[in-house]
Amino acid sequence: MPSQTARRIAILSVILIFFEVFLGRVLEFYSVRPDLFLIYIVFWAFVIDRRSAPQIAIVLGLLRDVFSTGFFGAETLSYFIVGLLVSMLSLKVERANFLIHGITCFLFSLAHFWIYAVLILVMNGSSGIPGNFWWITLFDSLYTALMAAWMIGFFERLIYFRTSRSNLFA
Amino acid sequence: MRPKAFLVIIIIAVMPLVLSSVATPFPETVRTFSYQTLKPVFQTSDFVSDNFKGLFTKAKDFLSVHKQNQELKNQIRDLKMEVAELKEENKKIERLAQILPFLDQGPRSMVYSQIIFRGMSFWDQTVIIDKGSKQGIQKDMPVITHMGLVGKVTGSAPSTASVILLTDHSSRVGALGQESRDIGLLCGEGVKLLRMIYLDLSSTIKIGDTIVTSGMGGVFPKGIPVGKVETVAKDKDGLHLYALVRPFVDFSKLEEVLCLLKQRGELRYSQSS
Repeated sequence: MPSQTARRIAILSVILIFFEVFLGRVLEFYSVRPDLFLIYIVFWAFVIDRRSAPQIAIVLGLLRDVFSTGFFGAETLSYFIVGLLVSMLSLKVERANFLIHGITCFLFSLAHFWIYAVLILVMNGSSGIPGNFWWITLFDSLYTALMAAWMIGFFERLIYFRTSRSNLFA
Repeated sequence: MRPKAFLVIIIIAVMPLVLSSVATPFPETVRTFSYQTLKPVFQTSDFVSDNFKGLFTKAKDFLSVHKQNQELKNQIRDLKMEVAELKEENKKIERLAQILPFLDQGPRSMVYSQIIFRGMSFWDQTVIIDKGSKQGIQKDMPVITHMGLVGKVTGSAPSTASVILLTDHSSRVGALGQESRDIGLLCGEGVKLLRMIYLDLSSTIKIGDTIVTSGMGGVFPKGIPVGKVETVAKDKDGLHLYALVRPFVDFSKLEEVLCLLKQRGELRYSQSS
């Protein structure tokens, strides 16, 4: 296993998680912010290892549940479902195209919101869904897609910089 | 992936949701422990975020400095006139205070707290403050700033407490128009504006009216300023009017708050402006 690449992945993961949990507000504009965790799940499935993407999604979902005040567990399950779908999709698309990264993140960001909304509906009833749900999910997903189109390629270049591209999880 | 391993992963993914449904205190315990443990990190990161965002605001402010200067000069002129009027009002209040000694119940006790964490998405318009049950903060206590109402306490740990903001989509506050005295219900919608619903069709509420708490419901004292009316329109059902209210408090720049501790007797609040 190329240990240098593994080390870079670990550092990138820690930085990204720290940024999303503690400094996420820096990227916020008019209450709209990108979902860095979702971008990371797509990055993991497309670039690193598609088979372990659902497990990564569970870990990130749990973190999100701990550091938020919503219904505990809903984020974990919705991220897991998204992780599973992304890992299946990664076999069927051109994974090196930044447009595909953006479109995938847009669609799966929407999917994550809707799965979360369904879970909240089941657990809390309709009172848990805000009236402007559609607009907010749309703008959040667009922002996530724009960031993903740039970030996934950047992350890829960052972890494979001057190293071989062998499969870490083979 | 083998079916057995896949089944284990599914169970792990569903486990937190099941645990929080069956054992209600479990998620709160996990969250409280995390916030308590990482409190210094949250405080530092909040400081960094505020300063980073502040850079853009300062750059924007610099571009509009001339216009602001003119506006400030006009404001100074208006304020000078207002000071003269307020001096008269002050004398009037002094006289009234002598006549009505029963109103002098002393100021409501407040606890000053700093915000150390904000919710990560629009789903939870909630903040965590650095004071908790040790300082007397309990569930359902109103939270304000010098500008007006912020929200209420939804839970407290020994040295932290969570506060739901007015803008949260599950937030409901009984309110009334200060001038028109029309009563309605203020609802958060996850964005900056609040929606005041159930206003009577004959209500005289208008754009620019100040909205204050009605004191109904027993959580918020009567008379806490909330915001100004921006739009009034007929509801979809045609049976009521609704108003969009811009809160006095800018929730995106919230750094410190005051928690109103409970006291006996009637709750009163006077607007400092």
